[in-house]
Amino acid sequence: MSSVTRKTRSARAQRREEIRDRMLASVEELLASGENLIHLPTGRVCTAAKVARSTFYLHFADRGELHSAWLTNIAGRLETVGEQWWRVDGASGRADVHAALDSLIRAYRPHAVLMRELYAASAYDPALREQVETVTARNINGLRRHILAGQNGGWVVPELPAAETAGWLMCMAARGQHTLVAESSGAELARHITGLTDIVWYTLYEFAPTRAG
Amino acid sequence: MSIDPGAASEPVNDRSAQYLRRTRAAVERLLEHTPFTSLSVEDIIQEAGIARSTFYVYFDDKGQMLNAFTSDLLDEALVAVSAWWQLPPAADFDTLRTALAGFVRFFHQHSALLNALIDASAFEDRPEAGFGRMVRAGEVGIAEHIRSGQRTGSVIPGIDPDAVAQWLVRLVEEGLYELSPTADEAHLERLIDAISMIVWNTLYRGARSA
Repeated sequence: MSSVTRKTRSARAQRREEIRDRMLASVEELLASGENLIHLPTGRVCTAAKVARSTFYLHFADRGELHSAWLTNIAGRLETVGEQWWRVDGASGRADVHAALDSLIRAYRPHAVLMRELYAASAYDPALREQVETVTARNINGLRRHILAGQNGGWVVPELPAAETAGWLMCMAARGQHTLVAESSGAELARHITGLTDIVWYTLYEFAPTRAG
Repeated sequence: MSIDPGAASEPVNDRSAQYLRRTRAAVERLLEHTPFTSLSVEDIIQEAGIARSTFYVYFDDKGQMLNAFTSDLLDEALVAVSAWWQLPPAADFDTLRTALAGFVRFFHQHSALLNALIDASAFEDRPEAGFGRMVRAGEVGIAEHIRSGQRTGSVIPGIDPDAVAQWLVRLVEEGLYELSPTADEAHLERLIDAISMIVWNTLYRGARSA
């Protein structure tokens, strides 16, 4: 985010992002203390973030809009971290895949509880559900393209159906992040990262023609 | 779950079970076209061909009816899924694929009802507890399967049985969400191919290809 783009954005948009981020930090603290997003009144998040309710409603029509802004923001940041995985190629080894997934999961970890709650809330919020589906589709598509590129280059197992394999693996990753990753840290988190790496490495790369050769 | 076990004699239990199955079949037919939230008790009793008064003998309301379906449905799901980790670890790819196809097809067949349960569980703890049972059974079952395969040399040695089992359960669990009832036969076959290859490559391939 360069300073040039910053200047062209309106002060109002900047203010909105500032409120979004302050409320994000507060809601994540509340969730960490055992609160549940669906039952958490927006007023309590406002109070915790020291944002006047009137100010909040100046920038967000309702809590649905805030949830949507959080999801866009977090998913966007994760997508950037995730690009490290798409740079894996025929010259990469298991350690590179491990490093890419390690960065991704450690970037996800601080937001894993909120993301889980947003995914759950999407059952009752059609706009949020659409957004969750868009994020999921983008992730699956990124992995699908990576698999196709690897199959063309001979460094991904050729017989894997690209779209369906990407679908299963990405959904497994999301679900695992919302459950296993959200609830662990330290050595346990490292173990989960290695477990995920094993599945991804052996499924996609280990038995590829250029490696099995 | 919904039926008072204390008051029920054998024949009544049979009738209750039969009634529960009949209602569930009717609800699953309706869910092919209508989301659960839009279904009325009226729709359900008409589809099942039963009297309104009978419905209320067995269920307090629509939500409690959904909970009553959970236990049976999850028992059936667990049988379908556990076919995989109950395989001998030395089973070949085709046997593995057949076992995984069974569970994928089960989830596909019941996906509308399973999704209604999952959505309801965002608000209520009870169905989630049912899913929790399935998750734990899967984690233990798959980890044991990996360990015994590693002992006999039919699963690759380097992987952590517990960590890999926990992720593989999430893979299976996602079947609940991802297998839309509208998936056509060709798509279903590719999904079965994909999950079979994921499991095969992760656990067995490196131990067999020699």
